[in-house]
Amino acid sequence: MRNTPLTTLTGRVAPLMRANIDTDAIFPSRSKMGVDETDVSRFLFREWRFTDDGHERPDFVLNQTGRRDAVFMVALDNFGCGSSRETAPWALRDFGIRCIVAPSFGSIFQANCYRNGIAPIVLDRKDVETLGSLADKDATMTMTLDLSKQVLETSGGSRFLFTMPSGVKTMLMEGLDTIGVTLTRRAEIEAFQRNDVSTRPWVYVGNSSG
Amino acid sequence: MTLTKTITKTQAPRTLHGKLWDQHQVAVLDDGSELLYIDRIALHERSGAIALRQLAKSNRKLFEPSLVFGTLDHVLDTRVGRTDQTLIPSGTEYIRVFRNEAAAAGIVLFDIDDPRQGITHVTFAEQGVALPGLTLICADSHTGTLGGLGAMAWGVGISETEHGLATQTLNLVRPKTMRVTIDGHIGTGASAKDIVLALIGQVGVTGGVGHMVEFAGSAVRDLSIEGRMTLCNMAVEFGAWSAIVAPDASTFAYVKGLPYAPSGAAWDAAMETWSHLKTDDGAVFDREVVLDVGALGPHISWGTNPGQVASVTGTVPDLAAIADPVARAAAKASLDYMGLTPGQPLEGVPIDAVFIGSCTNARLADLRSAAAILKGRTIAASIRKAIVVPGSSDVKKQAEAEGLHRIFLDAGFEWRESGCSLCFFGGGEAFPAGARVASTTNRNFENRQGPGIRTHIMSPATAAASSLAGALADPRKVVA
Ligand code: SF4
Repeated sequence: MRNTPLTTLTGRVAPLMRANIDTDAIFPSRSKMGVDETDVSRFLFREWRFTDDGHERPDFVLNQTGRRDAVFMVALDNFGCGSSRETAPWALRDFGIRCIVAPSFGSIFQANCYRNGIAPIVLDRKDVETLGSLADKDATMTMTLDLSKQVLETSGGSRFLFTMPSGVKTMLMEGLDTIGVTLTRRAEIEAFQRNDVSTRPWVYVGNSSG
Repeated sequence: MTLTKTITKTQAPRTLHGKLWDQHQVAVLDDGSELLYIDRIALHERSGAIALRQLAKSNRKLFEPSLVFGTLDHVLDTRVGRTDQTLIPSGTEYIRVFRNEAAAAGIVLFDIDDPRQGITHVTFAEQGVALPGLTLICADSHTGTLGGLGAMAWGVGISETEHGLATQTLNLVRPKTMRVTIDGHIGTGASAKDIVLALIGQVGVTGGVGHMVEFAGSAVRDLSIEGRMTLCNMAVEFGAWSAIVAPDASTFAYVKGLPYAPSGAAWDAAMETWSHLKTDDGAVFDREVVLDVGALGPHISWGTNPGQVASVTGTVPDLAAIADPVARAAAKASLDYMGLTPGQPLEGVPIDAVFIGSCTNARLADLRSAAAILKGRTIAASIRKAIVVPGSSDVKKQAEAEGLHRIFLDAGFEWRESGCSLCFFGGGEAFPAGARVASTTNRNFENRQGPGIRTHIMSPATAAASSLAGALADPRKVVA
């Protein structure tokens, strides 16, 4: 979990205008990541960003002047599809990306974003394409996100309104420790379980360490 | 006196998902999301090691360790004579951290030498850890496989796994519902894999995004439980949040007697509840898709997403015929990567390697169907690597008892220990550089099976036929 608060955000935009960018591409399976590592940004888009011998590929967007410090990413449909690996949003977050704009997202990836301080924002494909081409034309363009107002605005004055369910929006804005929040309902969960043990006893046949 | 019965009867018709959701609801939160009770948490060493470690570091305890089960599959080597050493970078660390944390947390672990070890989504079905009507999560995107048993199972991230471990709940917004009704009798040589490939080809890889899918229809009822698991396994490949098949007599027959399944009075009580696990007549889904699979034949993917598929007798599509510009650009990039040209027939495209395995197609029925094609034959001399990796150690044992391993070995395949193996490339063991692979897995993404590897996904029978031909081949043409 990398859930620090996100309310507003201003910075550069990296357009990666492809559809179906999967989490294998974002965080390749062969990444030599230790169990306890806390910065995994070097694995981000490893195959696309670097050659096999570790040199930067100059044509990849995150290697270009003005995009290295991007905080926004714009992509086409189904961003983050595929494997559930949370290391994909971690790598984006550790690199500095705090907001991704796309017409749709892989659902597990999208859920992971909210818990890691990344706003996954859905716009119509037409708007995403407009935004992508604005960013593509001008590497110095910046954008501002205001989560409470649910608006994105580019330095050139283009505005895009979006919607986001209130629960996950709060999770982002307050950087909530969701486990702590849920544990305030411990008594309720225990009561549910006690009742459940008598109504669905077969659920509890699993034995511990056996 | 009979008043309560009358009241319950007035309830609006509900979908199966709706019933399961209601049954597991602990609380409705202010924002309209729900706190859902989780019956089972499955862990594997790749994501489970991190989840358990992070939880321990934050000084949090498991809410109910007896509902948590672990196995080794992703990192664990599948070569015969394996140890904790693995070719995958940092693999040994993952195995050992997972083992230690699992022991400290007091959870069951199907470890390297345990006869129950296997791929998460395979072994937890065979052992009865997953059961009809249970909610089950795992930090793995193919968790929905267990919907084939009538469980409500879905893949989550590591943070959500930690949340589940610490609270036995997840905080969720109810996804939309989608029913996929599949009718008709598939043709000979076709299987559940071909159905789901054809389906994804039709609805596209985003066709189910945001939806929990119920598979219904005569073709689904006709499938074995193993086939239903293959079907549900690939629902995530069209974006579905989860997938389920309502449990029926075949499901109950499959589950009865499994090690963790209830028995005696508990079984009777379970059956009483399970018999109601179906969508009520008149229940409304947010989306309905209908597919007729009458006479459906084998399918093979030609591109780099699972929606880019064609019949084995078909051709690589003509790019100009793809109307949607994004789909057309994606198809162009796929063909460049795959080294194929528009209009080219699929049958006869030379292959270099074959992989029969994965949580999609490495159950006993899958191995039987491949072995039936391979019996008494040998793979083409041009095949440089051909491996069979059973979905679980139990599948391996049963296959050996039937002599299937001899058929594979005699044909020229390697016969492995169970695990995920080359379903994905972990940085260790690899296919020959640039190989074109006939694979029974679920993902044909770029670099998924290794840098530059070109994956064609298909059924076990089609993979077996292709291994004999040394090229993509139609299993119906292999004469018994
Ligand atoms: S077999 Fe492949 S798809 Fe299935 S869990 Fe393992 S790596 Fe994932």
